[in-house]
Amino acid sequence: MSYIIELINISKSFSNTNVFSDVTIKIPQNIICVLTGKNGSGKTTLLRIIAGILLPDTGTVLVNNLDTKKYRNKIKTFIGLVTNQEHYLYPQLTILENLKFLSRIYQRDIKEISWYIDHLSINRFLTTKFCFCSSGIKHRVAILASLIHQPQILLIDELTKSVDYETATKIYELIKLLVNKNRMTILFVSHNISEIKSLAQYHLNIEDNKVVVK
Amino acid sequence: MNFNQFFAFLYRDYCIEKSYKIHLITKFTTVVFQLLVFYFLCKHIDINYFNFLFSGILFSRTIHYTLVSLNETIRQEQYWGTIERLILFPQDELITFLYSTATKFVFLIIEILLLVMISHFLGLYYSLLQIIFIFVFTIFSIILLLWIGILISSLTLLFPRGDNLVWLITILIDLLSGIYFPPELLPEPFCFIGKHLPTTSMLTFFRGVLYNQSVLFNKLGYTIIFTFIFTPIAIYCFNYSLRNSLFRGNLVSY
Repeated sequence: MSYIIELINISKSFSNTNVFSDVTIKIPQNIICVLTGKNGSGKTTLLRIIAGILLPDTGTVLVNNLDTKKYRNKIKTFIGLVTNQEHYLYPQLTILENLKFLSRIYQRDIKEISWYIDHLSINRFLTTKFCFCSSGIKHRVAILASLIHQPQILLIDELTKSVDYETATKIYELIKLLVNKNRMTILFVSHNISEIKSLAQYHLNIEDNKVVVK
Repeated sequence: MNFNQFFAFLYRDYCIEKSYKIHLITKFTTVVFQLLVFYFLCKHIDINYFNFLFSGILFSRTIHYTLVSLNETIRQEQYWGTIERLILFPQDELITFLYSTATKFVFLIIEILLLVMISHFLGLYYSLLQIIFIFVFTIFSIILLLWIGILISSLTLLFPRGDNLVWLITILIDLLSGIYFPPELLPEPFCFIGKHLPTTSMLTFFRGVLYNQSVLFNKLGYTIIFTFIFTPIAIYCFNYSLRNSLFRGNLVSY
């Protein structure tokens, strides 16, 4: 089995608070992986470490067999990250302006994501300023924006945070499609038991500063 | 240079400025107001002094933008919470931040143009060649002195809420570089420090070409030597501070 994400002996602490110690996990390619754990257990920290925007105290993180210490810029092309949807995009810009900006940065045609815009029912909010959007819309847009550069790995902090049942179903469909059709690997944080049961092909749980495969 | 990114950030800033129309107007009005205050003060002291001071004001604006723009960009992104998205762009973070700062330098060019136009009405007449020189000089000053801006940004990444430090550095550079008066008027050791600052050399070169038609290559060369020595040091310090922030996990917070 090939692994797309490998964390080897990772430890991380903030000031005097120990978050993980000596964590080693391997996440296989092209699966839906769920990350669970109590509040404050370090789920978001783990996502940030994998994305390379937070450095561990010790240990090695390999993404696509590349060390995040040496190949951070290369690894960023593989990864899409959704952590804090409230502050994910520029508040003064409309959703469309934000998406156009990101498309230009990644040199992608915005038409490439038109299917996602339809699927996540964002069409009628395109000309709304991001700051005026509800949390649910912001979350959908954050997922959409993380897909612009067609990453191989998508990391999402709380998959269906603030969204209604209908939208949650659409996000589940999208996640399955991204894995099955686009051969993406998805790692998301969840507290929703039914979501975990229906989607997770691989389950990681953070418990007592350790990450264990369930 | 990646023009796609340059125009992408220009587009973003255009959309942001659309939302703050009054801010843009007041931004330029303040600069014009400052110039008028100096003009009326000079009228009571010595009108020739306005000639000297005007070139200083032009350079002071360039210095201000070059020194604080990068730092302001980082602070603003932290304040909006969008910095995390920005550092995920697949390139060195410093390059992303510099592109994100580019619009501020476009504003500087507009500001310089505005000041030159207004100075015309205040009795300062420049030939077309002199005006072209002012703009070319402004662009070169940004390039040659950007290392100071990078160094300041690395300091504020290391010491959050270090904006007072930025203020202090810019005020000191303004006072010591001969913007308002020649550094010779300063007491020792400030006179010595002022005379040896690269910003003083750059300003002396500027005034020499603009008013005396003399090209002081030694002054320009002095600044270039500083740029060659300190640019790699500034980049190293910035990357060190950034890694430190990524390690402490406080880059995303203001």
